[in-house]
Amino acid sequence: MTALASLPADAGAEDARRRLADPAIEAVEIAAAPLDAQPFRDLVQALKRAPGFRLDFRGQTPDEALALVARQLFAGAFAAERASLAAEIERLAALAAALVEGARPQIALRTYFAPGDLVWHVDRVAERRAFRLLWPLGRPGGMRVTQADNIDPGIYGAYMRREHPLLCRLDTEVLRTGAPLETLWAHRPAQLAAMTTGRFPFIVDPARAWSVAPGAISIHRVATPAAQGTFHCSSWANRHAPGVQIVITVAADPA
Amino acid sequence: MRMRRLGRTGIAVSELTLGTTGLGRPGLDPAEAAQAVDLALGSGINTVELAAADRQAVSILAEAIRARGGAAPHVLCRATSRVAFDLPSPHVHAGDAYPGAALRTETEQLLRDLGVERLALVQLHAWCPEWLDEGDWLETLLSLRQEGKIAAIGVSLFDHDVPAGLDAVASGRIDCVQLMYNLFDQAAAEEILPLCRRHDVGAVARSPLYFGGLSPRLAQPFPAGDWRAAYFFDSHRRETRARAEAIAASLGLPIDALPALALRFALSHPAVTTVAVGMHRPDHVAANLAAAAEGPLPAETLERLAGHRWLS
Ligand SMILES: NC(=O)c1ccc[n+]([C@@H]2O[C@H](COP(=O)([O-])OP(=O)(O)OC[C@H]3O[C@@H](n4cnc5c(N)ncnc54)[C@H](OP(=O)(O)O)[C@@H]3O)[C@@H](O)[C@H]2O)c1
Repeated sequence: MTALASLPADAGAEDARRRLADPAIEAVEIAAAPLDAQPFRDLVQALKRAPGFRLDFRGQTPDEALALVARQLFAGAFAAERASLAAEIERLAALAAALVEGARPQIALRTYFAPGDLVWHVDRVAERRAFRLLWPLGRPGGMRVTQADNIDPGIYGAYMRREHPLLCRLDTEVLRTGAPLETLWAHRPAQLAAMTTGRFPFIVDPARAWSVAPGAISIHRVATPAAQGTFHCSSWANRHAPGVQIVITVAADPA
Repeated sequence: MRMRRLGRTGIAVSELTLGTTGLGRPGLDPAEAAQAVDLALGSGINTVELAAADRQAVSILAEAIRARGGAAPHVLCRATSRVAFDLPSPHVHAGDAYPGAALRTETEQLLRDLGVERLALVQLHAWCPEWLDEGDWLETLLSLRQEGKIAAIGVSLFDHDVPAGLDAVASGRIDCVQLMYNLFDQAAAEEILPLCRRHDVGAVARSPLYFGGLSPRLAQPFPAGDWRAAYFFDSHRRETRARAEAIAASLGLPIDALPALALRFALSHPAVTTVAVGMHRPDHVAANLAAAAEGPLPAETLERLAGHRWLS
């Protein structure tokens, strides 16, 4: 039984909400036009060529945040592309916000690859209800999801006790230096192999994983003190082509 | 037993600390454990690391202190988080994990349970850097220090998470930091141990034997009921075992020689104040005392051992 529900490009918040209300569904994917057909493709291509970074919008509108990026990286160029990308981010933020009453969308733009994303994990927030929307632009591989009962909790807990702090350090190192993961973890071939293949010792059945279509928008559950999150990981295919990722988190405590 | 100074507190602690995780294990032979504690405390080990919530370890230690009489050991206490979490989490507020009132109650209870007048140290375990400015833990521990109920304030870092302690060490607010430091995880040597020296902060190096993984022990799985049975899941156990064998082979040593080598490795860093090694058997105590007596490893051995890190 699939854990991933597919929705058409014109799906709205109500469609996503309905599918995510089904506990068997871990994530929804919403079709999106390929990057080549997007009016902002040149901006995305330019971002892909620039050094990797992460920008949290922190209350700035998408327009303001993209203007900041363009000022710092491209001498303010790509005005029309920025406007159309910002409008699309606004639309998706509104869609995501409609999933959680009272939530203000937290938006981030990320162009570097965090190797920690290659390990199955759940995202976490302190609020009691939360979802995350991901919109990858120019990434070859779609996010993979699996069901919680496909993860052996004992082995997963032990694996993460050992690996989580090491993965956080690896992410920081990659962001800071841009050094290849294969070099930084050359002394850890077994862990590197698991990241390459997705075969981790805690996965019960490797066949029970679903991949979001490359380029599609996806929404998954975020773990909260009141709810389980969706286990997901990135694909090794994204390792050398992280593209641009728009990350929108919506979280709130019910009134 | 050589003594080292616990940072700016000036307290002289033995370079080996009795680690007590094994004392809390189900199925422990209480007579053997009592013998091990007595041997340690009678052989110059004057410092004990203890989770305040570990009632079995607390009662074994209390009994040993009462039976021995005389000067009580320095107790490095790990406070109990009020929020259960598997990994350090910035989403948990310091005020929820370690509320000041609970820290005070637990400290005063432990003083009574152990029959000691002062704890050498209270540490917040699974430390998150965000906690430095959160909650009322610091003012509570400062008051307890002022009242003479504790001598020092510290944080204890989650396994392999040394970067989490950098700000705390540099802040001047803590007297001591506890971290994992062993042949597999040598990260502390790069930044935090030198920083401890600069700020005169004590450093407790724990798990020098990687929970027993740096010994012949991993030839067999751990029995059910021992937390390590889950921690060393099959591929982890096999990889750790192979890496431990590789260390011994690289120095032409039998694998039985590994615990002594691993202990001396941890003791070799000059910024390490004391090495907390888990001991619940008299033969382990005796072997570890003998290893410590041999002193630090020669520089060229340390150089060769640097290549065996894989958890940093
Ligand atoms: N574990 C944690 O998460 C943690 C967290 C914070 C603080 N601490 C403190 O740090 C202390 C040290 O860490 P740890 O006990 O977890 O790990 P450790 O010191 O690396 O390993 C202790 C284990 O090594 C074995 N051992 C000890 N001496 C030996 C010898 N001479 N030859 C062969 N094997 C020997 C024993 O295993 P067997 O039991 O199999 O005989 C013992 O239980 C703890 O006891 C505790 O006070 C621990």
